[in-house]
Amino acid sequence: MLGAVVSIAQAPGTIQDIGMITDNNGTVSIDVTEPGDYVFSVFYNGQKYQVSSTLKPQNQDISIVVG
Amino acid sequence: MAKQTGSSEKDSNVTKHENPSQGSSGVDTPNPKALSQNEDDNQPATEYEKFGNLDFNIKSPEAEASNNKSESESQETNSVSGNSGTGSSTEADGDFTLDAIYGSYPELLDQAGTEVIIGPDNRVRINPTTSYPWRAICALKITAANGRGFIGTGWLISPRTVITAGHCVFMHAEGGWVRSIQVIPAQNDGLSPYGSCSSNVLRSTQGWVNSKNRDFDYGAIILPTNCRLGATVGYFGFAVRDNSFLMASALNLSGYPGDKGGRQQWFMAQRPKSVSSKVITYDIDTYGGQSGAPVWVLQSGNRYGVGIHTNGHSSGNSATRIDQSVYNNLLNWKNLGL
Repeated sequence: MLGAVVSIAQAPGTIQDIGMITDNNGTVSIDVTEPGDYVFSVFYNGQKYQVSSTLKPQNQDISIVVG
Repeated sequence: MAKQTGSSEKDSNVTKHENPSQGSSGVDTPNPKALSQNEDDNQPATEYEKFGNLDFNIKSPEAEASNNKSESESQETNSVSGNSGTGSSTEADGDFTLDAIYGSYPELLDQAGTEVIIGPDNRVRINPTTSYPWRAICALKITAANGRGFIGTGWLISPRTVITAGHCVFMHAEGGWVRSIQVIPAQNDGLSPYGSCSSNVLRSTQGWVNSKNRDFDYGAIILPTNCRLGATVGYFGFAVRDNSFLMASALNLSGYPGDKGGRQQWFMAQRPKSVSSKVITYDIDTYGGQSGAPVWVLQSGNRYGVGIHTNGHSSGNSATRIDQSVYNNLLNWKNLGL
């Protein structure tokens, strides 16, 4: 899923308010400054979705799959 | 208040409030007397802060950091087109209080949304985006050093200078200085009414680049010499304002949030929750993609950036505050883009 816009809707701490664009694999990179439960807003093809994930305290890639 | 039109008047307004004088330290500092000329004598809160205890040492966190790219290396992708801008305003005096904000933007009154972010979502869509100040706010499409894509927001302060967050130009986790940024003023869904330009001439601070210190999270994009977007759409002033002024002011914030797709401009205004020497905190609703958005006050018909939006948090979103040292860097970067 290329080109989805991913932004953090809820996080356990302070986040940078930047939006992320998924690559060819539907992946975005998250600079995790605080581990915990995150909720993401995903905007793709005119539709808005919400997904959640528990992140660990290191930079990591998150795969976004819509379908 | 009489309308102010024409680029010369726009330039005069900006210059008047940013006109530097040579301080005893050899560092340019704003002239408080000159700055106060356009102020209302009944509004002492509009005076500038004092400038003591500032560290202008080149090694200070606030010292400029650059990606050392010459402008000739910039990658222009498009040229400017569209309407002629003025950068001026038509609002009445004394309109920096919250109650008056929708009086200043009556076209936005009936557009308030009802979705929920954290509490009610009070953002209002700017549509169309082709009037000032909205057209001076830019969607940013960022290609990081490692090729990943991001979106942010920027705002013009001169014909070729776009201010944004430091983390939009230098990404510690993505390889450092970003590869390029496409700047699209007034983007409105599929419309780019003034075209766009790309640049890899970037500026930030030592405090951000070397230490990832949130207090120094701001930067600039210098557009190519043949891409004078700000001369077409107009641009913001910027100013140092003291705590009492800020706490009494309606802060305006408009940018390109990702939950709306990152191609629509959304606006909200509210008084701040708190201010510190380096950060302004507020409950203005924001989303990823609004990093770098202007936080401005509307004062005597002029717009002055007082902060650069950077962070989100459930207890309050926040901006890097324009204090004297931020002001000095912005002024330097503005001069690069004249």
